[in-house]
Amino acid sequence: MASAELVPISDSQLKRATTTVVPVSQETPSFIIDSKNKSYKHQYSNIYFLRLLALRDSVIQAASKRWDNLPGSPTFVSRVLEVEPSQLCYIVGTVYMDMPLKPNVMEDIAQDHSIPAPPPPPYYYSAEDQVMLEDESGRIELVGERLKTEKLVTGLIIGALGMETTDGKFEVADICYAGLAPQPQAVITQESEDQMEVDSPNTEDLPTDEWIGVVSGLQIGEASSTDGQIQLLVEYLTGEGGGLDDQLSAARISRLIIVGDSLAPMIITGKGDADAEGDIKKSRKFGYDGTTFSTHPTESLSGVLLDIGQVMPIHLLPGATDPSGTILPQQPLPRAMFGAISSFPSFSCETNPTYLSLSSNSSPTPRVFLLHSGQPVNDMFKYLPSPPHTRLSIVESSLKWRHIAPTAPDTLWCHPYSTADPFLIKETPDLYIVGGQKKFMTKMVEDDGKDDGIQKRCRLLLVPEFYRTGIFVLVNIRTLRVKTVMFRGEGMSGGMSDYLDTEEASDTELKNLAEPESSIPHSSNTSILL
Amino acid sequence: MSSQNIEDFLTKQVLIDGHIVTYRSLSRQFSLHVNAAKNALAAFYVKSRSESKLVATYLVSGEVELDPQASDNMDIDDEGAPKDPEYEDDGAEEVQATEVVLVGEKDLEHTKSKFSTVFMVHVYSLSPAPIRDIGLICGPNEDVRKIDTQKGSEIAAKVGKIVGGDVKEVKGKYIPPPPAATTSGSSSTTKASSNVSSAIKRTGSTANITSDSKPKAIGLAGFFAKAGDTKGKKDATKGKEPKKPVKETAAKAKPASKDSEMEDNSSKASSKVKVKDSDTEGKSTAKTTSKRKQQESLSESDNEMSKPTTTTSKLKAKPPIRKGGTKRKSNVLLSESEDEEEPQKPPSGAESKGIVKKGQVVTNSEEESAPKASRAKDKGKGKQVVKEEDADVLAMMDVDDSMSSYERLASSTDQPTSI
Repeated sequence: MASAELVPISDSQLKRATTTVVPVSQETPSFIIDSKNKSYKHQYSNIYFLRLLALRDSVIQAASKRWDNLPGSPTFVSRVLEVEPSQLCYIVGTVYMDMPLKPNVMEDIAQDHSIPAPPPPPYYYSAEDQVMLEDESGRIELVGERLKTEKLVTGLIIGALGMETTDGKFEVADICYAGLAPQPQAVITQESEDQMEVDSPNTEDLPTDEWIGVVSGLQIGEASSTDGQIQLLVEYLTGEGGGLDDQLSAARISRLIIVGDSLAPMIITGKGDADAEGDIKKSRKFGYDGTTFSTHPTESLSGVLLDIGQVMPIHLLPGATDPSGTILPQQPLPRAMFGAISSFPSFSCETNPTYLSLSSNSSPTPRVFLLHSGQPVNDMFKYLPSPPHTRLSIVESSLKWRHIAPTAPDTLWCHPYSTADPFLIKETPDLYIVGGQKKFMTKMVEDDGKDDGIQKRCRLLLVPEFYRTGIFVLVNIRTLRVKTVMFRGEGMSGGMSDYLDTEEASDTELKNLAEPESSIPHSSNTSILL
Repeated sequence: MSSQNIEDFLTKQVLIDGHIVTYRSLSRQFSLHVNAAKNALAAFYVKSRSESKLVATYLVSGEVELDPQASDNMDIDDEGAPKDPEYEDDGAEEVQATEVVLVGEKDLEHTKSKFSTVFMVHVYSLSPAPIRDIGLICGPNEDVRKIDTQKGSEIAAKVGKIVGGDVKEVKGKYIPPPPAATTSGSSSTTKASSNVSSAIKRTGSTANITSDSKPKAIGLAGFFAKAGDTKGKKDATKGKEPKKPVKETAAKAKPASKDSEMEDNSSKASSKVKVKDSDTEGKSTAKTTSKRKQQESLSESDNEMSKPTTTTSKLKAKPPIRKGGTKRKSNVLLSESEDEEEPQKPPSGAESKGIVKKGQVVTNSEEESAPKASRAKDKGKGKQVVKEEDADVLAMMDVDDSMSSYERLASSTDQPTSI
């Protein structure tokens, strides 16, 4: 017989922290595709050339710093095809991974259409992979033991040190990247604020700090409803749930960013025809019958957004399962889709990926956030065998490669850009948020500035899918520290307890579901009944 | 006494009607602060539990231990939780983890024991039976949301919603400012034209719609056309420029000159293309040249472009300035004029470079709207379509697909592409 203690009521109304959106710097690319650049007539090869041109100088600089003083004095060879045999040199170019398991348009065309196509393999790596290095002159194959430990995906600009072998291949001794891009805000921080504030682990979170909430993968409209969990999240954010402590910490949350996958993918089983009206007989009030169309998911999401949007600004990014097109960058979802919340200027729909620049009272220097819903990282991960490589290291590497999505357009569909590659990271952000992941992870990547005298740091944040894990992430805008809050129901079905691959569901059967990221959720057959 | 009202309400809702009452719906019903509502629920629960079938559901919030794997109530099958190698700790940091758990009375103590620090336990809802499905707590929210939207901000303060200062509802239709899409190399001019373009975009949208419908009808021709189009610059709307010389009336020039700077630049760039193409094709473009000059005289002209330069290289020294807005507008005007000047208007967008079709030079720079707009008009003209196809095929043979100047610079031997 548990008795709850009385909840104190604060006398004065709690005030919410506020942060302001600051326009991004000139250098920051925009991912909006409007009528000016909405053309699909370009060859995708332009992107590779643009990338090479943009990054080549930085890579050459980094490479020469790293290798010029080696015994044997390697020289830089400007064209990949001009390497001389048995001469130690380094070349710079774009990596191309020739993998037989990669989806190949030639095979697609050649296949027999009477047989259904085999499902695409979850990973592309195999023993027969070849690594090539290309530039405008041609390509050369890279071989060597060094490659096995290195993370390489198509589209990277690297410098490779080595020597040409007798059979025309290039044996690699060492590889180097451009490294972290310059970070202008770090310079300002160093000059004005105390840089130690961010880096030191002893920095305390002050009660005046503003926090930003980040969530991903709400997946509303799911076969197994997560509405209840989301409801708990909404109440936490509006400051109604919990006791006074919770409400005080909720008052410090100044903004919510939803990083993708807010709507569940439609599962079309082919049994029933979609009913144009959208009126279906629902067996469960909050269930979603996947065989017929229902407006419920969008309405439900609109309701959730309205509840949260009435108390704080929201940024909504589309994700892999959202109705926003599959090619990157995904364009913002139309505001009108969400009903009442669209009359709030504080609600904004963003592209995926996007840069966001926020400043606050506690942190007057704007913090630059780079966010995306996870498709680039999920795609990159298909190239790399998993035990030596982890998601966090991939995200860290993408910062060092200075590119958000190097595998575009090879295996990741993207828009055919022809004047500039907006996925290049020209300036390292303060916070790099990747949504749609399976697990929460975070790390602070630092560069001590040996090369250019400027210390750079960036926090990486992998945000897990809410429908599966119930985890909501909070970031302190001043110190860039991170906290998580998990919402769940104990002893109840529905919500994440139907997705049994988290260690929190320890009372139920544990199933090993180590599959790669897919947008179709898998629900187990067991549910908790008491 | 309001507490009597509350009790009556709860009795009716939960015991008689069998609904779930959450603290939120109670607070909205009586305009109470949510914390007061929680206390009221608790009080009622204590009072009535002995006499009636009433079940409380609690919300427990607190901090959990950072490393759940260390807890010893895990069943040891494969070393505890399945370790996903993709997510191995690779320098990852441990962070403070809070949990907010909705739990029935039965499991309350068990749940509380899992926390290292408990911030608060309070009654979340009262119901006639234990809540088995967490989705059921969403039921009362319909009413809550209705009352919230009805009564708006006054009730928000009362119930204890913490509203941010930067959140305000805009009555009536709110249209957010159009996002600025910057493209490198044209940022300055883009900014100048962005205001204009946003206004113009709307007018131009109709033209777009008609133009977009056409490609389907074209089919193969359109396919070849597109292939040829890659030669030019990306600006989709640049192709509309060729139409300008045709409708050389003062009236039209006036609105054109309104955005004279932008148009000028774009006309420059496109006329350069036109000229170049026509020259390389060796077709006479006297007519069009004069028209072009005419137009240029209206707007300030750049000396670079005033003379047709016989540049054989397809290098464009100046990256095309994307004046999407202005071009669109002129396209609209053009479309209107096209009706009048139908016979004169070839499907100019076709990639035939420099082929003077009915007095209009077509540019091979890829443009979608312009050719499509014209095609839309020329739907029934089979003859023209055929001509277009020939021109397209010709154009395709001449064109080399790469259109970026970088590729030109790079020796063209084998273009390594890894698509």
